[in-house]
Amino acid sequence: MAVMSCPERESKGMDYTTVPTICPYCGCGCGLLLEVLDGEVVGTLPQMDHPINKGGLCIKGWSVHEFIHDPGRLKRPLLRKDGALQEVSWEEALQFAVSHLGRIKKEYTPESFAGLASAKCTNEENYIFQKWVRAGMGTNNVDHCARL
Amino acid sequence: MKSGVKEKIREEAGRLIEGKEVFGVLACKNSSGHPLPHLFKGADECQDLVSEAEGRYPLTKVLLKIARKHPQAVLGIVVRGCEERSLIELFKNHQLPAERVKMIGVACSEEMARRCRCAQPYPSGTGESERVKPAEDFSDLKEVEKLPEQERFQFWMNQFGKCIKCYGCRNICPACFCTSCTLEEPSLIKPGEMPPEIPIFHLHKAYHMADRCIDCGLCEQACPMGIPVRRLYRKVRQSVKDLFGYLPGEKEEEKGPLEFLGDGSYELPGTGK
Amino acid sequence: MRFKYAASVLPIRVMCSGRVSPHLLLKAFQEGADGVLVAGCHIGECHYGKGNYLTAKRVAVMKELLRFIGLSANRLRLEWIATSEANKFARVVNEFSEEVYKMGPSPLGKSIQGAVR
Repeated sequence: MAVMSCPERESKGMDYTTVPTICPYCGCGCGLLLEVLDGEVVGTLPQMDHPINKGGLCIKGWSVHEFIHDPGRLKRPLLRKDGALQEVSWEEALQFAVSHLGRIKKEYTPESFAGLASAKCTNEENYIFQKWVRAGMGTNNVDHCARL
Repeated sequence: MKSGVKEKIREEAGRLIEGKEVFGVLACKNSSGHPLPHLFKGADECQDLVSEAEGRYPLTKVLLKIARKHPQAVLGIVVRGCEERSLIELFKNHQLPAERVKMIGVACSEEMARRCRCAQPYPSGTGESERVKPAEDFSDLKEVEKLPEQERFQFWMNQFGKCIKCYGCRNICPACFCTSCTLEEPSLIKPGEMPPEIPIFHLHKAYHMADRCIDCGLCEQACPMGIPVRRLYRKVRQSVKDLFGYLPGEKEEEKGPLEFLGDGSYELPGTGK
Repeated sequence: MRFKYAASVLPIRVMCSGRVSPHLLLKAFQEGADGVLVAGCHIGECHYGKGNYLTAKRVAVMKELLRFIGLSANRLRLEWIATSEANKFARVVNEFSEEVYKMGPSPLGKSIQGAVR
């Protein structure tokens, strides 16, 4: 059985490590580890020596890894045409958004617009978003799904 | 852990990898002062290998995850006493083949043994590390048992009332390997119901741990609400020991009493009361 | 010959007591039962061989668990009753019913005992 257990045959790609990070959801900021097996995030473990959570995680923290490789993630912009969502180019999608948002801002005043940010975005993305809503669209109606 | 012991473990891990006896060694790596689980694949990488004295991780669960994806790989793992017990349980339940796991044993320090109230703070093969005395202590069970029935129920309901159904106790448990979990069975536990139905939710898990709990204490560490779940599982574990003379993680050949029908050799309790 | 037994009993027929998973025993308490009686064939007389050995082990562990939680272990009872022992069945059921009634409703708070008696 030396052939089966020959490690060299397995050496291509078998790799496991854990990467420490902070939970993106609520404001607690629990420390967790993302388990990376063969380049893919497969699981989550709490960081046992983290001063905030000391090894505990809520259900959202435990399932943080699930959305990363989920097949339902959007990969291309989608635009609703004739009642159904269709894949379009970035140019077309952005053009559509800009023209209509500009129209709404003019017709109904900026206060008619609100923006909702997401816990699944990075801090930098959320910053740009609120900056655009406040400075670009001209309204304070911006919030985050965790009310941050 | 004494530095001499750490060196010996690093050497042993390096030797296993260099000698191509294993593909990699699963242990904790020192990452800016934090011990984090990692699969060491090179002998020079092993210089960062540390014990998980501060943070205890369910390495055997990680091993199971890797082995499920790469069933042919031979892996090394640095184990404490409790981890060896969980590996024996996994071998017993045909989750991992024993010949594909090479254990490097390390005994726990006295402080760790006392903190965990461990019955056996060392694996069977400890190499250079010194074995300390077991620090088993049942005062936590006695504390509950001396309460009268009504008060006992109230105590447990107050504790379980804190539960946020995070499934942490199940996710971190090294003895939990079922791919289809009883706690997610819609006919028993209503999916999406928050808070969970108490005490039923915890009783379902406690029964499941009856002949599997290795008393490592990771469940209590992982509970964000501080529920003393370990006490519950220790009690069932103790009951199984008292009734059937069986402790999980001890001998590899012995199957748990609730895993097979029975041959009458176990003492049958009297019927009725 | 028809024997009478208490009306507050819901019999659930299974093919072997070994089929009764301990999780189902918990489910019975969850659904409002104040007491659960498991009646199986005598040891050595299991139609399927050794099902009742497993039942004995399971109920023993479950009783310890219930006692530790503060749900009286007496709410769960195991009896060996052969298929022909109808009078024993009626007697045991009546006794157990009486005992559970004296113990009071299940502290899980879902009891329908008040409605039935």
